[in-house]
Order: sequence, then C-alpha cells, then structure tokens
Amino acid sequence: MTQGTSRFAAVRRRTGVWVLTGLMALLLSTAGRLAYVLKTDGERLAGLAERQQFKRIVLPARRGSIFDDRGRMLAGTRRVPDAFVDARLLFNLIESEHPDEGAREAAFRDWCDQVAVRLNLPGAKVAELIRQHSASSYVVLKRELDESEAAAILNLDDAFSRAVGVTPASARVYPLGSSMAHVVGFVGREGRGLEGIERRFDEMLRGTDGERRTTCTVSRGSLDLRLDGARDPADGRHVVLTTDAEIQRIVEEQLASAVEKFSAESAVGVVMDPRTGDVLALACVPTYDPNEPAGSPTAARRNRAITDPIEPGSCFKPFVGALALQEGFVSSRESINCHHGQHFFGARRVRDTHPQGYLDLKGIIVHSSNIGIGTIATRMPKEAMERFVRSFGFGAPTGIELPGESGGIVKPSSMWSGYSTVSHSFGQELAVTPLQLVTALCAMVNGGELPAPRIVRGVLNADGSVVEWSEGMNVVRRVLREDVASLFGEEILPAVVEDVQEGNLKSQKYTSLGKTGTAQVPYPNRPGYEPGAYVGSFLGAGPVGDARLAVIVMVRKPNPSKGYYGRTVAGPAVKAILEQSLEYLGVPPDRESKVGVRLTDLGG
Amino acid sequence: MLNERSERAEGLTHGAWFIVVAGALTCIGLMIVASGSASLQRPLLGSEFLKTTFGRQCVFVAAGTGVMMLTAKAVGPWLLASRDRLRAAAWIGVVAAVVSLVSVKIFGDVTRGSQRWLKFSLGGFDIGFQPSELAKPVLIGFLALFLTRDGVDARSLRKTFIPVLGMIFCGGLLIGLEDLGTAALTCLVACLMVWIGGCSYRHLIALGVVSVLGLAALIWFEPYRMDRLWAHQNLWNDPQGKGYQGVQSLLTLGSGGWWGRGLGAGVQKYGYLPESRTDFVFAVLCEELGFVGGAVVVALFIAFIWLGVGAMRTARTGVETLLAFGLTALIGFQALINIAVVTVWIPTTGIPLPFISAGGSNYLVFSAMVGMLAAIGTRSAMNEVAVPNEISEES
Repeated sequence: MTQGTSRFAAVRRRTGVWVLTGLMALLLSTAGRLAYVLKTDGERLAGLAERQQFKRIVLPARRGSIFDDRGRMLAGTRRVPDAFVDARLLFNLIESEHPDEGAREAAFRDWCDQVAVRLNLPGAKVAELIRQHSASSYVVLKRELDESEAAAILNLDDAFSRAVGVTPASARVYPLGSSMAHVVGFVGREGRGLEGIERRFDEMLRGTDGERRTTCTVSRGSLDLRLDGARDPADGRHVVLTTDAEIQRIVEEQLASAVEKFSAESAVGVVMDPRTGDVLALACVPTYDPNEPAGSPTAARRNRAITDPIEPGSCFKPFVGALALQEGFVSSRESINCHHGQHFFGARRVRDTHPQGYLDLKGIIVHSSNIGIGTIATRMPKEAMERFVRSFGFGAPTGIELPGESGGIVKPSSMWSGYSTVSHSFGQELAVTPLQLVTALCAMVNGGELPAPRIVRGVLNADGSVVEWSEGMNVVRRVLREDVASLFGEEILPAVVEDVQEGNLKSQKYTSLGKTGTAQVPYPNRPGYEPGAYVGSFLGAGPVGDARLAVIVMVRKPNPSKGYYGRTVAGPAVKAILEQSLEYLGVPPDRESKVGVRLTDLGG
Repeated sequence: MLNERSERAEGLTHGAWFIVVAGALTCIGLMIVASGSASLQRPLLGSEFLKTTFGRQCVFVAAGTGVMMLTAKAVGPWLLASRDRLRAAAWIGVVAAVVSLVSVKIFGDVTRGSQRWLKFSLGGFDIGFQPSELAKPVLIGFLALFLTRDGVDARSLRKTFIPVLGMIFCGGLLIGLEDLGTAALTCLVACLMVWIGGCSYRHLIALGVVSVLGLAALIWFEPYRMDRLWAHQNLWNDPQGKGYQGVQSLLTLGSGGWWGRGLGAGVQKYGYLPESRTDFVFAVLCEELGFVGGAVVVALFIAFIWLGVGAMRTARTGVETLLAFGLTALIGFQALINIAVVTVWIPTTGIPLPFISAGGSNYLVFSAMVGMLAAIGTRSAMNEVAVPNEISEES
C-alpha cells in the first residue's frame, strides 16, 4: 500500500488536470463545429441529401383518343408492356452468386438465353444489349410485348429474376391506317404529337402524368412513399372531329384513281358542309401510314390542303363575278365583248381557250372567259378587287384547328401593277389554299355567308363527359346578298355542270354545280411557269338549291398527254364524291324522277 | 476534495459513475447500430440475428459489460493492490501486443487496403481482432509503470527519457505499420503521459519535434494517406470520388439538421454513407437525432473526462494517477478525433467512436479500460473516507 507514494511528487497532477480540461474544451468545440456546419451550410447540405435520397416515379397518363363525327376511332392508345433489365443489379447478383469469375460469364449467358426465349429474341442480342448498357438500371429489351411474353417474363423465377421486369408503356394505334392521316397526324416515340390533330391538341390529348415521390436507398430501392407532391395521373381528353371516315374513304378512293388515271404527282380533296363549315373529309394523295410514319417521305406527310397555296386559276372567276355584280360593276343581263378569244389589256394579251363573241355574266362563267371577266375587272379600282378577294377569306388563314395552315398569298393592292386587277380576276398573281377555295364556295351555295371551317366537333373528358362541343355555322361574315348568292348557286354555277356537253359531269341522281380551273405551276424558285405542269381543279357542290356538300379536288401535275383540264382530271372525281357521299348521307336524290322516266321509257 | 465527497453522497461511487456514463454511451451506440443495421432484405430480429451488425454488437456489449464489471470489481483492484502484479500484467500485455501486431502483418486479413485484422471463429461466430486496439492501453499502462519506478528520477535523460522514447517509438512504429491514425493517437497520449509523468521539458520539446517529423514521413511515404489529405482539402471538387466519404458525411449531418429525422428514420445509412455503423456512426446519429443527439453524446464524453479528472485528482499513487490520465485521455482523444473527422474538420482517419461505433475488439478493450478507471476511482474514494462510502455503495 505504500509502494507508489515515494514518487508521487514527480507526477504533474495539476498539469494533467489542465490537459484533460483542455480536452473537454476541444470536445465541446466539436459540438460547436457541428453547429457551425449546420448553421452555415445546413440548408444546402440538406438539399443535396434530399436530392440524392429522392426518387420520382412517373405514372403515365393515358393519351386521349381521336374520333370521327360518328364515333369511329381514328387514334387510340393501347397499353402494352416493355420488358427491361436492371443491368447493374443483374451483374451485382451474378457477382454475389458466383464468387469465381469464370462461372459468371456462363451464368450470364445462360440467363440471357432464358430471357431471350421468353421474349422470342435471339439470346446473343439480349446479352449484347445488357452488356452495352451494363451501368444502366433500365435497359429496354423489347417493346410492345404481347400477353404471353409479358407473362413469361413475370413468371421467370430464378436467382436473378429480380433484375428483369415489365413496365406498362403505351402504343399509339391508328385503326384506319393511312386514312385521314393528314388530319389526325401521328405521335413520336416520346409520346409527343408531331403532326395534325395529334400535334395541335397535343397538350389536351396527353393529359398530365401522375407522380409518386419516394425516399430511396443508394441502389434506388424505395423506402417510403412521400405524401408531398403525390399526384394521380389525369388521362388525356378525347377529341371528336367533324370528319366522317366513310366520306373520307370515298374522297381518298377518288383521288387515288384520278392520280393513277392521269399519272399525276399528287391530288388534294376537301369536302365541307356549306351549312355549317364542318370539314367532312380532307385528303391528300399520296398519303402515309401514321402507324409507321418513318416509312414515308416528309413530302407525303404535308397536309397540302392547308399548307401549300397555289394559283387558283379559273376557279376564282365566280367569286370576282359575284361581287362585281353585287357592287354594280356589271349587271346580270349586260353583254360583254369577249373579242373571239384574244384581247389586249394594255400591253398584255389575254386568250380564251373557247373563243366567244358577246357573253353575259353567266356565259362568261360557264365558258370561263378570261377576256370577259377581265373586261369586268377593268372597271374596278384595285382597292375594290383586293377587297373582293379578301372578303371571301383569301389571304388570311381560315383558322381551322390544324397546325401549319397557310393564309395564301394576296399582295396588297398598293403593290399591284396596272394589269394586276385583270390577272386577279381569273385567279393569277395570288395563291390560295384548297381549303380557302372550298370555304369560299360554301358562301356561294349557302345563301352568302362565309363560314369558319371547323374540323373539331368537340372535346371530351377521359370519362366521356363533354368539355366543349360545337355545331352550327360560325359565320365569319356575310359576303353576298342572298339574291346574288342564289343567282350563282342556283343558276350560273349549275350551268357549268348541266349545260356543257363536253366532258359530261352530270350525275344520274343529284343535281350539282361547279367551276373548273386549270392553272399552270410556277417554278418553285424563279419567275415564270413550268411548261407542261398544270394543276387541274374542280370546285363542286350539290344538290342545287339546298347544297349539302361542297367539294374541291385538285390534281397536281397530271401527265398532259392524258389530260390536264380541271374538268377532265378533277371533275369526275368531284362528281363521284358528291354522288356517293350524298347517297351515304341519305340525301334523297333530286333527279330520280328523270331516271324513273327513263326506266319507264325503256320498259315501254 | 469536498467536491468528490458531495458527488459521492448522491449514492454512487466515483467508480460506478464511469460505468454509468460508459453504459449510457453504449446504449446510444446500440440504438444507432440497430437502426443502421436495418435492412430491406431481412428482418432485424430473425434467424440470422447474430450475423447482423446489431446482433454481433449485442454479443460484444454483453461480453464487454462482463469484462467491465470484472475489471472494476475484481481484476482491477487486485492488480492495483500490488505493483508487482501490475508489472507482470503489463509485461504480459506487451508480449501479447507485440506478437499480435507482428502476426497481423503476416496473417492478417486485408480490408480496404489496410491489413488490420486477425480473424477468429468461435463456434461459427466470427470475431475480428485488431491488435492495435490492444496495444494502446498496454503502452499506456507500461508507461505509467515505467515513469513511476521506485528510486528513479523521472527527469533523467538516460534512465527515463531515452527508454521511454524507445518504447513510444517502437510501439508507434508497430501500430503505425498497421494503422497510422491509431499510432498517432497513441503516440500523442503517450507523449502527454511522459509530460505528466514528470520528464524534463527540454526532452519533451525534442520528442515533440521528432514525433511530428515521423508523422510527416509516414504520410509522405504512404500515398493513400496523401489522397486522404488531398480529399479533405478539395472535398467538393470530386464529390463522387475522393471526396465522397467526407461529402456524404456532411450530407448526413445536413440531412439530420438540428432536431434529426427521428430514430430509425435516417436515409444516409442505406448505402450512401460508407462506414455508417463504424467510423461514421456519429453522422448517422446526428441524422436521426439531430444536433441535439450529437450534443448529448459530446456532453457524455465530456462527463466521462470530468470523471477521469476526478479519478486522477484523488488517485492514491503515481501509477494510478498516470493510468487514470492516460486511459481518460485515450478515450477522450479518440472521441475528439472521430467527431472531428465526421464533421470534416480534419482529414479522414479510421478511428472509431468509443462505445458507440460497432466493433468487437475495440469495445472489449474499452470495457476493460473503463473497468480499470472505475477501479481506480473506487480505490481512491475508499482511501479518502473509508466507512460512509462503503455504506452508500451498498444502498
């Protein structure tokens, strides 16, 4: 009990106490350091920690469908699963299962083969895919699995099956294929609408993806569901169009046969209801399959009915004639000298294809006399002509619910030459879209009101309840007095069909009206016209007196040796479209009696 | 001396308080280790309980508690009662430490680039033994004895200082081969003991210079240590690479904030923060219990050192004084360095937090150290006022 005491004094006990006190102070300062870190940097650090601990799970919204006016599905979404592999997890699992490296390769290949068999893929391809993205935790092996493939993957149960999975993905389908492709458009890989209604109404169709937030481990395993920011997906809305798939089919059929018959480059057709402005069909040939949009050239995907303005040519005469009559530049009985097919307006020589002497307004339209309509035009000031042109809606987009609409080209009259008024009168020096032409015709056959064309009937919620719905005509403005409209709609334009014997366009069942047009194709990048390049058009409507349909068909660059006049290349198509569509719509034939008589005659 | 008397009047002996504080830290540690052992793959309490870090820690804590009580009540007083016994025990310890330190270099398992572990299997229960853990208290005990030899002047260069220097150098070198952080810590505490033990100041300054130079040399010649220093300087330049550990430690602290996310609610332990149950357990503690929890732990360590101060002031003999100082300083510095590393104050070194970090051999060694401190505390109290305290201890 006494052994240590002799050296007791040598131990610096008090120094030791001070050293330990210092140590306590230092320890206290670590708490200070901790507080300092939290105070100065705490929020940033917490934010960074939050960012790495946080995982967003997107719950995709289902894209809305597109229907035609009668509820036929034009575009729909199918839920199809994708098969994917978590490559990182897979290699980790293999590594922990097989400590020696030699066995890993074999195990990997075996497993890839197993998965491949279930997906009907070659084993080597699966192995290669996984190897290429070995650091990724989401390697898509195959898209759009069918049910048996998905089930086979889900039933896979071995040591590594945790690494493979099936996620729901969506596939956009267009049940009618290429029909109405230019209206409906298509959707890209990432689910964005790239053309047509799909593009214009993309946001509405797409809906809003839902979201779940979870806290996760470093290997991205979810720990808990967070309540903040959780959102259910809101499925996209449905869009109902005014178009009718059956009328569309008829138009496409007629366009295709016209293109084939006249070896044309392309053709465009639009059908509208003049009473409402509803677009019933809008077709471009050649067309493309929105299910495989990449399989066709970009040019085939252009909706030329609204994007490509062209010179209207003689189709334009009735609009100028009607307003000239309404504003008193000409009377309906006045005889105008058509100079037997050749006349100089100033220095410009204008010719008629069918030389005539004196013609009244009706004759000028029926015989499509450039000299006649040009003579009327000389009586108008430039400003009046520009006003006429614009009042029918030319030079401005119609506002149809489709992307990329052109307004056409109408130069302001201040830039016109002395000859411009004349050339405008027979549809030169300006460019219009087929849709504008057919819309203008509607005003002529519906009593004089210019409708706003409409292609979207309404929008429905995902559950089918109506969000928006529109029927009836949206009147842009009254263009023609009723008497002028009925003169043109019931007398002058019907005569183009009824009275002209050459190239008979008379239907057996329905009375109809129309106007031909043949324009030359200007060079794309220099002044002047391409020789032998024409656009043959025909504007038509029927039945006369109570027009239910207005139609335009334009056939671009037909082989001139097979015909290029509008009456020849586009007329028969319009006739067939009118006849078949009116029949389909259940419009009673207004020429049945004649047919009946004829049958009786034959019988007798 | 009055202070100690009034403390003791509360009902616990000074020695017992050591055990209470260490026990509190151990309980906190177990809680955090349990939380850190949570896994998405399997339940914590299952058939493989003893293979989880928490299960193993429970075993170690149980064994450690036994060691602590045994040391405090029987082995400690028995050893302290006779200088010869202490000397014999120290020599046994020295031999065991040297043998194990050498053999770890030959047979040891390599973990993360360092050869630190001797592995044993006890009926299927794997134990990793880290010889440097044993070497620390052995060196301290040996120094305490050597500095208080009978009839030798502690100020003597030849008789005390040179041999002591040799001991520290050899011990430091042996430990340093395996674990630089532990070596530096041990040398630091050993040098402090030489100072407290009464050596000449001139010699001490020389020793300090030599130690610093040696440390610098070790850092210089082991490139991965340079990397650690570099990483500390430029933590945010390479948060995914060399700075990863430090950045994640800071994020863990930030994630917890002042009040913590709640016990068990930490996220950083799920793979983000490496060593989250051992060297960086303090960060996880702060994430779950916040600054408040961290401060409580720091306060407990300060309380432990305060107890050490008390034991030192009342120790009966020089060797007990030095032992109390050395053991307290070792535990205190280890806590200091660990927390400083976790709060990215100093570069990363592999120093566990006493009583809290999961680990087998270090917990057992700490238990023995606490037992020894308790024994010293109790003995000094008995010496001070004999009878009344015997009674209060019973009650």
